[in-house]
Amino acid sequence: MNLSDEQLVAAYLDRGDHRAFRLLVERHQERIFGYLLGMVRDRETANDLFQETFLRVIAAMQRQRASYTKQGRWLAWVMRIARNAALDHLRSRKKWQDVSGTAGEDGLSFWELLPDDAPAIDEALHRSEQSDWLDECIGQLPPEQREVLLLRQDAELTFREIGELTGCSINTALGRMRYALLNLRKIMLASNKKPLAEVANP
Amino acid sequence: MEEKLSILEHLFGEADEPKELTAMIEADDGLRREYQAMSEVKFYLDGRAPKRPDALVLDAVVAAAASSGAGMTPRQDRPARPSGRGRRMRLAGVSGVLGVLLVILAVGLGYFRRGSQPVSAPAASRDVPIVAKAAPPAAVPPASEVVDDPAVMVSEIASVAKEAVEPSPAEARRVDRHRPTPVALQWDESAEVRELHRRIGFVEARSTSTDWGEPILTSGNTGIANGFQQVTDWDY
Repeated sequence: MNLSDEQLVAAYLDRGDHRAFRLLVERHQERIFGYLLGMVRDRETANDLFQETFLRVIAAMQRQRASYTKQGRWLAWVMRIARNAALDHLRSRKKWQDVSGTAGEDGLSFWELLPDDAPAIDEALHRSEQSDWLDECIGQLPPEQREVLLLRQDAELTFREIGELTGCSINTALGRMRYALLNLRKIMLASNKKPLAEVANP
Repeated sequence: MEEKLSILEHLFGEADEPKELTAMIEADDGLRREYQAMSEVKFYLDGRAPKRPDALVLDAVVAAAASSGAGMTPRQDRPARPSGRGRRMRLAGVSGVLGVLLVILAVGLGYFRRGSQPVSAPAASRDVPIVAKAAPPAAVPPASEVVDDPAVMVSEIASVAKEAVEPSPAEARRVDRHRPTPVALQWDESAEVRELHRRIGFVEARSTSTDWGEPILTSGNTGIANGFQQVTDWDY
């Protein structure tokens, strides 16, 4: 039987069933850890932040559901805690403001102003190397674009949820995602790696 | 710009009207090129290997949840109720013992009463198990006056039956005056009467079972005490 997140949360809170909590963690570990790893780009730090995130989650759930009100998805609520943990870490390392402070007068960063005149990507890349290479490319994105890309692609939040989480409108979240994809494409092309494969048209 | 954002929603499956967007993308070359470029990138993003934390981290998180869960006050399971079947069996046993005691008491009372006050028509009552309903209601005692004494019950039943079969002269005159045709008796075969008759038979059978008149035979001293036989000589 595939229990929903809400049912598992209720089992943990009402009956102290820690197996339900384990199911929750195992179900969403890739989404949360993928976001954290993409944000901090260091596996050990991501492990620490993952643990810290869930310690905060447990503490918040123990406080009689003070911050978790069962409104909205449990994952979105956990992602907020994970994001706070990641931003706390990045701010302590002064890595969050470094790049985002380069935005121009119109609020767009250097990366967002890059022209989209690169040739089409049409050749294949070996799959075993592709993932690491893509992670390197994502790491070169400006933090705001990288964050939206990670929240949508890895954490699987909707653009509306991303807007609520990051404190911006859904259109801003969509705009950041658009620039993230276009810039990522340029970075991939500029990396002189194996050419990307052709992709079927929509 | 709105269209470019909309195709992004379409790319990630969040568009409200995907068919309209597809038509719009096919009709606009610029939109189609941008959609294709973003689709290529998403294709490779979808192929990325999932990232998982170390197993030790996962175990530590679950252990923290378990230890914190121990501090919570989960609803305790209620203690198991005693088996209903066992309770029913006990009740049945108690009621059975009470019933046997009542029967013994009734038999004893009946035996002593019969010895002192001979019942006038026990045989008649035995022969008339079914009572005519034509008996007047006044002849039936109220519930508060019902006695369990079998001898009394037998005599009452006999009298009721006698009245039903042989009405008093006054009643006979009244019946003759108002009803020229003979009375068609309706037999009462209700469960209560049948039960009463069954109980009378049972009580009488129990009462006569002690009328053997023979002394109880007892065994002499056989040298067996408490299941052990006394040994006088040990044969080594």
